[in-house]
Amino acid sequence: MGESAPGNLGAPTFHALFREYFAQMTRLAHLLGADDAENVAQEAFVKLHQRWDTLTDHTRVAGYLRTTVVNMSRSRTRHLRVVRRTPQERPPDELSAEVRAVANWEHQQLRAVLGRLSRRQREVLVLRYWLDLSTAAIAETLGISQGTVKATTHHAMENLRKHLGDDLGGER
Amino acid sequence: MTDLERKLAEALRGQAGEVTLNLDAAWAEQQRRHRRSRRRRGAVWAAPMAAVLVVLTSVLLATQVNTASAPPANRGQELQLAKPEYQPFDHRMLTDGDMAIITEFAGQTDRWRVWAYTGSQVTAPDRKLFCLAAIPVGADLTEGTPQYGTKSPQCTELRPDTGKTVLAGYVGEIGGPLPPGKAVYLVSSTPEQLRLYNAQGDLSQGKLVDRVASSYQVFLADVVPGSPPVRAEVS
Repeated sequence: MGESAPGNLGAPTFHALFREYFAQMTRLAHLLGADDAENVAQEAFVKLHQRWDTLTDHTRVAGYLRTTVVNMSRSRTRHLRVVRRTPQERPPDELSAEVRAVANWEHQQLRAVLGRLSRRQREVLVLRYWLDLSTAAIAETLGISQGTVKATTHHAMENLRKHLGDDLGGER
Repeated sequence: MTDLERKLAEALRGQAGEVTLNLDAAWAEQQRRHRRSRRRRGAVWAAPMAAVLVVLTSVLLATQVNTASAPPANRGQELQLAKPEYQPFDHRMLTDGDMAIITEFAGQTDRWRVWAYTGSQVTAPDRKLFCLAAIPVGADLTEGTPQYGTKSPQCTELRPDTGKTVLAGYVGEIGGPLPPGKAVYLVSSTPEQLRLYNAQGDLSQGKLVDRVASSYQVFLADVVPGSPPVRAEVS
């Protein structure tokens, strides 16, 4: 455990990577709508550990983790839709009473609209505006072209503006 | 960045901030999952390996059972007998006592009767011989009996003074006084049973057919052609 990558003394240990990225991956899963975000992140690291000895480029570990979390979050939200059978009526993120009390109204509105976007639009917005990823990195994470990333981002912002209106500065 | 984009980023940061983590506990959980993963991967290998082991063990046991039922290769005493030689039955041959009829077999044109006897050559009266001769059924084994070009009689030196129980023997061959698949052994008077084993450990049970020279027993056995007995057990 915590071993370095074989044949690469300068590579980070698994433990170091875990401490660096676990919180980020958990929050990513949370933002993508997974109800068990920590479990998703844990499993993503388990998958990474299983491939640890065969990884040749440890600079791409973060990208591998992101892709794994996105895919597992998709599976989880898909499963939740099947279980609940009323996916459109469910608020995307249930807030605790305490959080609800302190969250401002704008953010609540944004989150509600974000939850009504399509899966891909939500993924693109989270990766761009929360993780600050480039178009190329988003394309690699989601396995789509950069043009698709740009178009999806554009349509997602349009939808946000349409649903939020002028109150939140949704004007162009 | 537009105002909407800025507000979106703030909202996402706020939502992400709701997630609180205990990294040490998470690391402990991660280690637990690694152990569980290893166990699962081990089970994936262990189940087929266990099945293979069961099959191999079964095969091994079955082989041992079959081996146990077969006679051991080193059972009995090794047969070290003099090689038989063609010895014409003529006026130079002196026989001891009665001759014994061993068996009969069908040849290409005649039915043959096999005789066993002991004797010696006039020129070497002290060298005892055990002989087998095949002659057509109905003919007498006399000095002038034709042999039709066969390798009969076949004789082997008899050495009772060596202390061996099996004194002499002859395995059947084409053109000889016994056909392939048959063998005759001369045994000292005491034993009542003769068991013969070839190199593969296959058992041939000898059958007592007669006596020659008053005391020696003649056993006839069915043997595997091309795989003569190499060991003998008497009782």
